[in-house]
Formats: sequence, structure tokens, C-alpha cells
Amino acid sequence: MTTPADSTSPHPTNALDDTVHQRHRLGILTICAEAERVEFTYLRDTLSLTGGNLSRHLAVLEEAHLIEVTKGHEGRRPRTWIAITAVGRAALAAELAALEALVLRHRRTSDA
Amino acid sequence: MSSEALLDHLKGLRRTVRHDRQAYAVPLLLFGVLTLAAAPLYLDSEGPDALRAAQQNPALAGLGGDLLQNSAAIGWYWLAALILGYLGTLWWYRRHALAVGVQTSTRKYLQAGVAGVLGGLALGPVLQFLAVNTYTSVSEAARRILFPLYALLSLGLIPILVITIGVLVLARVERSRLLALTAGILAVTLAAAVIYVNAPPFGDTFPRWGYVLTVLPPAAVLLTTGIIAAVRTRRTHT
Repeated sequence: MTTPADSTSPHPTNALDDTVHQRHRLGILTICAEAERVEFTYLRDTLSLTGGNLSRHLAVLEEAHLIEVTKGHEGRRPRTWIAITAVGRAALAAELAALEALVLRHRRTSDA
Repeated sequence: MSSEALLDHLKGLRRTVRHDRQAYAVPLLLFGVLTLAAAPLYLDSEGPDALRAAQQNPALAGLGGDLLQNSAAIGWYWLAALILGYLGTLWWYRRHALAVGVQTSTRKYLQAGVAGVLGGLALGPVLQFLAVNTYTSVSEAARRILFPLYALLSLGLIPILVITIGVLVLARVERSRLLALTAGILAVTLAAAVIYVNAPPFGDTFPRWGYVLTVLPPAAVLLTTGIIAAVRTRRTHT
């Protein structure tokens, strides 16, 4: 049974951000939030994505100022490092809170 | 994918990244070796009850205190060893990041190292100032904190306190329970060293290696946990 507060409060899905909510982009932000910076190949291998696919997701996140991409060389080897921004951390936290609220709401509805 | 499954997936990713970026076995082993190598400097012909004239050691050798026969050598050794240890750790984390592709933030660790070394060097003059100028006005609570610090400084054990703080910061950065436990055990060995020197179990015949016993336990703790960490890393990567 839902309480009046539940029925009047906005549905948690309203808090989901389309840019962040996409599964792979959420994965990229989650990984980046756990480290100072992460290399392109590490993200590609950990998320089992192709290079092209990952590049497209990174472009979307960079466009939204959620990550910063730095390209450089280590010796002769080119390296691309990705770091999450403060905006990205806040967006990730909001997304996770919304997902948790959604799960909680679903459990309450199932129990009722 | 349901929200619940997505959250589980993200939790799994977080666990993977934390595991991949963990590289603390090397700093533990490095500081363990440096502590063990310092042990011969703690050999002393006199026990804690012997009266010694105050040594006028250079300020940069302040980490060695002024109670022991080799305080100046201990001070110089630890100044070099702490710089080497912290820089070595930073180099190692950078190397690990390049090899694995995930970089741990070492800024706080570096700050702790710099603050620890500078704080250790400043501790002697600060405590001296307090003892001479403000002894009567220092509260009982402050004295309870200052006395163990003074004892650690006199015994040349402040560098191990600096290492302990570094391990604690690393535990936070690495989110490692083993590192937090290591820092806790190191703190206990330091507290035990102060108690032991103030009530040595040898009576009046304090042996030449008596002070060495204050350094060996922290060295053993660092080396043991370093080996455990190295074995765990090796196991999970094979």
C-alpha cells in the first residue's frame, strides 16, 4: 500500500538523466569515479566495448562536461586518459540515488 | 536490464577497478626494508636510565631525537629514508597506473608525507619550547598527548609514526582494510615501545640491543603485511 507521501512525490524515473542513464556511459562514469584517471584501453576492455563505440560514448559525456579527456604519449605509445569532473561526480551520485529510489519503490510496491 | 541488476553491475565494476588499482604491497615492503635497515643504528651502549648531555644535533637530523647514542645518524638516515620511501611509492604508483591503465590519486599521500617529515623535524623545537616556556600552563590532557610524542621523538621513532600516518592515508585512498589494520598494528607497536622503554623487562642490565626491539616489531609488521598483500595480488592475477 502506498502512503500519501509516496503518491504525491515525483516518480524516481523523473530524476534519471538520459545522458548518464545509458548503461555503458553509467559504467564509464562509475569506473572513472573510482580512480584519478583511467586509460581508454582499460575502459574498452573492462566494459567489453569496441574502440569506436567507446569513443562515441566518451564524446557524449565530454560534450556534457561530465568527463575530461587528455591525449598524450608515454614514450612512443599514445595514451588517452579519462577523468571524471565534479559535474560528472554529481551527476553520477544523482543517478545512483534515483536508481536506488526506484529499486526501493519497486520493492515496496511488490510487498504491498 | 532492471535497476537492481544495473546497480549490481555497477557495484561489480567498482570492485574490479578498486582491485586493479591496488598496488600497496610495494610501499609496505619498501618501508619494511627501510625500517629493518635502520635497526643497527639503534644499538646503544647505555640504557634509558643513563644520563647523557643534550646533543646539539643539526635541525635536519631532528627525526632521530637526542636520547640515543646514534641519534644524529638515526635522524639523517630517516630523513633520507622517508624521502626515498615516499618518492619511491609515488614512482611505483605511477608505474602501476601506466601498466594497468587505472591511476590512484596519490596527492593526499604525498601531502601526508611532506607534512609528516616537516612536522617530525619541527616537533623537537616545538616540544622544547613548550617544556621550557609553558610547562605549567599545559593542561593535563595536552600533557597526555605530548608525553608519548616526546617519548617517540627521544627514541627516534617519529619516522615510524610518519610511516604509520602514510599507511593510514593510503588505506583511505586504496579503500583497503588490510592497510587500515596495518596502520592500527603499527600504532600499537609504537605505544608498546614507549611503555617498554619506560619499564624495560631487563631490570638494571639494559642490553646493547635493547632499543633495537623498538624498531623490529614495526619492521616485521610492514614486511609481513607487504608479503600478504603481494601474495594476494599474485593469486588474484593468476
